[in-house]
Amino acid sequence: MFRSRDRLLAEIPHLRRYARVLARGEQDAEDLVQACLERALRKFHLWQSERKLRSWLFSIMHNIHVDGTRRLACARPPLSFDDVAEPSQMADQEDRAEVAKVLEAVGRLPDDLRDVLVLVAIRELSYAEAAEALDIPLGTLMSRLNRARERLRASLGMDRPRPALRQVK
Amino acid sequence: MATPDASRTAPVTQDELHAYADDQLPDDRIAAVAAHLRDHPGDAQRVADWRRINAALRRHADAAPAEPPAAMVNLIERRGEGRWRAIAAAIVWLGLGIGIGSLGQTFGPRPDAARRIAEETRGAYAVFSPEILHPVEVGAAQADHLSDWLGKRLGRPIPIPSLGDLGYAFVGGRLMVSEGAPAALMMYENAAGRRLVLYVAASDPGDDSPMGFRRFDDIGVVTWVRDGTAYGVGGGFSETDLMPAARSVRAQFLT
Repeated sequence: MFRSRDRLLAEIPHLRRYARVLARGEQDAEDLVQACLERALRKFHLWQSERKLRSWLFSIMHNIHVDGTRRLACARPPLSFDDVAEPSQMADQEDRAEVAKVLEAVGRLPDDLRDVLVLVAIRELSYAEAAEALDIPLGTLMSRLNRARERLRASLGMDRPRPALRQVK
Repeated sequence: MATPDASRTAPVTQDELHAYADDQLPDDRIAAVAAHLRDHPGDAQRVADWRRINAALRRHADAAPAEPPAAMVNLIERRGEGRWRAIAAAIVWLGLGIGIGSLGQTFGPRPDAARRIAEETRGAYAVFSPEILHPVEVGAAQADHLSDWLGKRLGRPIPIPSLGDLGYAFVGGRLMVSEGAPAALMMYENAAGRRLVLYVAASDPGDDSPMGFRRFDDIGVVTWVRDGTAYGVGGGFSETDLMPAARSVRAQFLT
């Protein structure tokens, strides 16, 4: 258990990265991590150690997000992400504007497409692990990923011919 | 079937374009996809756009402060200790139960029977439900023998309730110690591998209490005491999930 405790502690930064892209504000994100840790501790004996701890934790967080936030979502205004990031932590204004624009477009995706896109984008899990965390087949994950990305390209105006594009690696 | 050469030259799929954008492409396909992108500027643009979207989301994710809040760290450390305390308490129950047993009464007022059975159910669950190799002494295959044996030791009929209708298969059971007297533990498991325990112990006549639910840090327990026998049904489930199992057990003990 002591080792398990250390392993859980080590997962916190990863859980927080995922919570940031799931939740709509910093406070929501922290609440989500806290709720996820509580549920994980309560159910730790159910974790099968051949399963990667991170995908198990991510599946818990995803379920809490679906149970809680999403049920309330219809009563809330569309995603605004008004606290994109503290200016000090974001390289420059231009970056900040780009992140806000992308988050806004991601927020308008249907739930099933957004779930896949944000989980893949943060690069915490492989495709197979992400599919496991979301409890969907790998093929479904890949097709949703493609639909999510093509919709985003359209809504961000990326699918129209452009003269020169600033390359971001 | 694919030779190494074929795996290098096979046509590039859409999934591979995504894997390339996400840096999840196997090494032996990178050259093929890179060549494809050189010849297909449209695809190269799509991959570049996907990476740009990824990068924006990652920058947002990375803006989380590095140091976890003290509340989260405390939660894990406190809860971890709580679990150890539950296990230690169960071991004390098991070990000292034999020695002190009935003397316990002289040390002070007895906790009420429902509370005691809830604590013991929780202890039994904490000790035995994580067991992979030896969760039970007698397995489900010998259910009749187990029922006879536990019944003889507890001095009352101990049927093995069936919870198949609720999705729990019987795993087996074992003899326990409760206040220096024999008690019975039966374990069940659902298809997802989640375990539920039924704990049965003798109680004093007059201790009868109705069904009640208690939530501990790690599990929930439904208890009741009837005609000198105390029952606890526990597991990492909500009250809504546990109650039907407890009602079914109670009904099966009545018949």
